[in-house]
Amino acid sequence: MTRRYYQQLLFATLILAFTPTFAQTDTTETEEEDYSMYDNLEFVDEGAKRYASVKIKGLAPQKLISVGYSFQGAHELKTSAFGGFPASTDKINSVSGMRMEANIPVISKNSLIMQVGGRYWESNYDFEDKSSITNPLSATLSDNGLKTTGLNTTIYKPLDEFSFLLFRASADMNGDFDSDLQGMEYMKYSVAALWGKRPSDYKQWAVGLSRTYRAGELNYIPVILYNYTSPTSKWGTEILFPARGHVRYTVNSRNLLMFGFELEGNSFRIGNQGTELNEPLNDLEIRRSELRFRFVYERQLTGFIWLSAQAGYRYNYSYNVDRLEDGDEFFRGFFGDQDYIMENELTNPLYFNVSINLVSP
Amino acid sequence: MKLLKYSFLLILAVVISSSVNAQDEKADRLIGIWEPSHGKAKVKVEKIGEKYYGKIVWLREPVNPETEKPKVDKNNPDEKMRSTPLRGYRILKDFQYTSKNEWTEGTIYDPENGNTYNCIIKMTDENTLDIRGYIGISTFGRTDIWKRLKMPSKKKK
Amino acid sequence: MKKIIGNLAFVLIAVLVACGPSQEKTNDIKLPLTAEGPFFAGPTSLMHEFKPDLKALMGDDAAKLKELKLKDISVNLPEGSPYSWYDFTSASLVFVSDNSPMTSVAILNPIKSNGTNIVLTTSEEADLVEFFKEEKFTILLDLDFIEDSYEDAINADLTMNLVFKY
Repeated sequence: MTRRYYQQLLFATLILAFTPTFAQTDTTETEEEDYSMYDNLEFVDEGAKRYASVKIKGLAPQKLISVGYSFQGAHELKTSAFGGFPASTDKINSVSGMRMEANIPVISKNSLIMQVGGRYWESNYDFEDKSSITNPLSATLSDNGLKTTGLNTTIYKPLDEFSFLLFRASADMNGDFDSDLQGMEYMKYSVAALWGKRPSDYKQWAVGLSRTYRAGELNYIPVILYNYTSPTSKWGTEILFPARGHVRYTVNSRNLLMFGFELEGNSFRIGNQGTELNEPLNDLEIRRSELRFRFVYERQLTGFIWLSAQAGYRYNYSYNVDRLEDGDEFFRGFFGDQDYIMENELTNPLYFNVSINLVSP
Repeated sequence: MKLLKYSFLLILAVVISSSVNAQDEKADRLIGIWEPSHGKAKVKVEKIGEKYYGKIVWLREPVNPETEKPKVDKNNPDEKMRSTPLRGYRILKDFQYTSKNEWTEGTIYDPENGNTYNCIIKMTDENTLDIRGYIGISTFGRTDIWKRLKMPSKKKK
Repeated sequence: MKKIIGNLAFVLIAVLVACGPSQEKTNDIKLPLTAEGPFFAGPTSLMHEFKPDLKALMGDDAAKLKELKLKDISVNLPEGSPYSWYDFTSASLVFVSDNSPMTSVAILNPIKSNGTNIVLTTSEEADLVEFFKEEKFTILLDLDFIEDSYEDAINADLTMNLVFKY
């Protein structure tokens, strides 16, 4: 009996001594709050350093992944004579193809954003009368089309709450190649570096320099960025001159309209396939550049999936041809007097683009 | 012998419950008032049931300049809920503590655009949080740093 | 061959039954909400921990519940309450549980009522099935006080008209 009593006493003692009290931290029932007390709170240690945000209010959402289709209507290609081939005029029913791009943020924090991306664009030429093509330039466009495949990186580095640096570099392979691609010596490199200010949530601007192929051939030109949103958040601009510029109207948070232009261009190596072009006519490059004046409609489909549709007028800026032996680039710029091996013209059709996009949060 | 057995079982139960209690204490470190790096709002984190929620308790610009009234959730995808006041709005929802200074399974809502993001909260030190909001996978997201504010003293009347 | 036809017929019937028109049942729930004072200007959460009993609400059809929406929500200040709706600017109803995401259910902002009753605007998108399948969940009513108040408690009665689809 005594032993049993002591067992029970010891057991009870152990229970009382060691039973933990669970902290009731469900806070909803306990504290009422005077919201004015939050006005002047101090940090426990230091506040986080504030950085200029990469975005301002109201901008069109940035596309992380884009799958789309581009179509240009009927137009003509007038080639000049070269290498024993006569001048010609060929009618093109359409130029169309897929456009796919990805821009993946590999570092994404307040103090640094770095994106790495890639793209694949096709231009498939549908000539009206393929059998009557005599010009080897038209022949390769008809048979092989033009492709761009490239990689790029963009780095946004805010210096403080109001200023930032923006850097972009890309390497593109452009030509009439097939799945075998083409030699690395034909790669085209572009780079841009800007310094800018973000004085408020409604405005950001930057200036800088770029090495670019948007005009079809190598150029070094200044760049201006100016993004603005009105205080009502209805109107705004998105300008990266001379690459593109748009005025934007925000219908609501899920629909927006833009009007403006984009300068698209690159240098495309031709004669990758077939034997029509041999020395001294090989290693030709089309200095292709076009200005697209357009309306753009963007609409949220669901969540972070947006539709983008453009329609407008494609104005040919350049379709001239140079010879770059082994891809060795030379600089002509706006004032150089080196002759083109071909000076071609394209008439100007209407065009449309449509794409489905995963946009950035 | 029986006494030894009971004592062992009791001590085992105590050890287990103590570790659970310690886990609760670690999880509750998220409770408090925090300021995102943009400084436009202050967020109070509370516990309801077993999960953690953060509500806006202060806005730098509490009034909508167009309506001249306190800001509301005008970008909510659910049109019927757009008149919900932003002060008191729970923008952090449903966070649960894992064992690595992280709170997961929650979402963060951005009233500026009406988007809800998956979110992971990491406590890098007692007064600093890495709040990463993302869509789908963590790669498609952004990290913001939130700093702890001193708890206010209550008004007594 | 007969077996195959039989199986196909069974599958077809099962699909037709599953895709058949859904049925609805409505039911009212009345719950008390409370919070302890004193109260300061700004949102205060009144709450109630609710233990749903689907069987009591839906009878034998409880297991077939597919969708649950709130049709009407009203909040009443009981007779003798020291408060009137003039004391608040907004009311927001939220469901919280350990196993379902927090869901905003209804809102009224601004509150304009000269009676004891207000009717909240319900969310069209909130689907509350998972809450009602749980053992318990918490109902929060955030009332935005205009001024500080030193009452010991505030009580309110919540009435929800639920539509059960099955």
